[in-house]
Amino acid sequence: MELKEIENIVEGILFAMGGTVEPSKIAKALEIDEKQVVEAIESLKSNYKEQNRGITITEIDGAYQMCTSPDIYEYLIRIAKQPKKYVLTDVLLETLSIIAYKQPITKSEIEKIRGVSCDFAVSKLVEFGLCTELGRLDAPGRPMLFGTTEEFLRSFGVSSIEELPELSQTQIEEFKIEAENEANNVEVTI
Amino acid sequence: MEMNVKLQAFEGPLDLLLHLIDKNKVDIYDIPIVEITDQYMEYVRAMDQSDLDVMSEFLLMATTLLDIKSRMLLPREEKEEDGEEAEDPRAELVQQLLEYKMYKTISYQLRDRQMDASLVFYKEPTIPDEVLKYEQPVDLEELMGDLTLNKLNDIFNQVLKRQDNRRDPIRSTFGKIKKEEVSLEQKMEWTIAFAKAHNTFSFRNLLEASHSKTEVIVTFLCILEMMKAGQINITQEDTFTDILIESKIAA
Repeated sequence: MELKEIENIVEGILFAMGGTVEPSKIAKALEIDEKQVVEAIESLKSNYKEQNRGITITEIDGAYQMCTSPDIYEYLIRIAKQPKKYVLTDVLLETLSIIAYKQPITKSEIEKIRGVSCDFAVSKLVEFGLCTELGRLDAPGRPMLFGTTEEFLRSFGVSSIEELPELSQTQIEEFKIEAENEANNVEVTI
Repeated sequence: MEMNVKLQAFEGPLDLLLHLIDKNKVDIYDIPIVEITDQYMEYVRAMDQSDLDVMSEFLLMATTLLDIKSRMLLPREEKEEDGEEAEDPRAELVQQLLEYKMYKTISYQLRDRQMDASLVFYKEPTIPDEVLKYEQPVDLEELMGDLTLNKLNDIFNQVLKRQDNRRDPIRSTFGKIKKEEVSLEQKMEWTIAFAKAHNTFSFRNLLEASHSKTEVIVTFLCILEMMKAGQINITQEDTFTDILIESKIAA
């Protein structure tokens, strides 16, 4: 099968199926190699980009989904009713970032980092579909473990957990130096 | 009251502590604990005390601070022998603060990402679930093939036979091990007979005829039973010494 032909089929499949579609599924249906499917998708993506098209394809946890290009948002919201946006409070965001980076994690581990009870925050995040229960830790009390969902990746525009922004060691060092410099300007008495 | 409004902004004790450290422009690794504790306590005192849960979290931090403060005020022991410096009582708090600060920074980055991502609309599934998950019903005719009632009977017999074959021919002839039972009544009769034959005897004599733990226990129960009925008198000189039994039943 020609690459162009695969591209066309994949484009139609992604459009019709909606949601995330795994490349392995398409490969099976087309009786071709999964590598060829991924190649076709990547080629489609770059075509869309070159032509400044209104749609694009995004990768979420190894699967693909069609979505609009952020460039057309301004026009899109004039015609589409703006979906209700829930705003994540600082508490929720902080809790979410701890879960995202440390998953699977128990509530008590989150509480240890934040120094505050997190029952409310965690249940809200689960309610929003950003976090989910992952099973129980094999420890006294069998505490519940939490992790992030596919919806989390979509809401934050990352294709996998590994792609989350990271605080580099240099950034952490910067924190330290910053604080030290500030300290030097102040007389510290103990 | 002014304070209260301000305090709403703090998400917890660590948040307040970070704020105080920033405000005082001090090094997170070298917190002037006395000053910070005083300021922290000032905030806590001004807090709305109606929410006990929140309050207790802040108070827990306050006690931690006071604990560190008191340890800082104590003269430091110089541990020159092992060449190790005594650990800074603030170390654990600093670690906690740093980690908290790290996640706070990351959460701001996540917020930016969310803003960007909210400009994108995703293609939702258009094909209904029942269509997507449709599976062709099983064709019974095809599934049954040339299966007849006779064939089914054969298969059933084969299954039974297989179960039979699985039985170990040697072990299956072994009898079951029965639980040994010593009845209290029987033992009673025997003990009374023994008591009639002997005027005085020790509990140990009585046990010589016992073969198992259960039997010993039942024998002991007999003794208690007979004592209650006034058929025997019992004396024991000391703990763990032999129990002497005097029979009151005439031979």
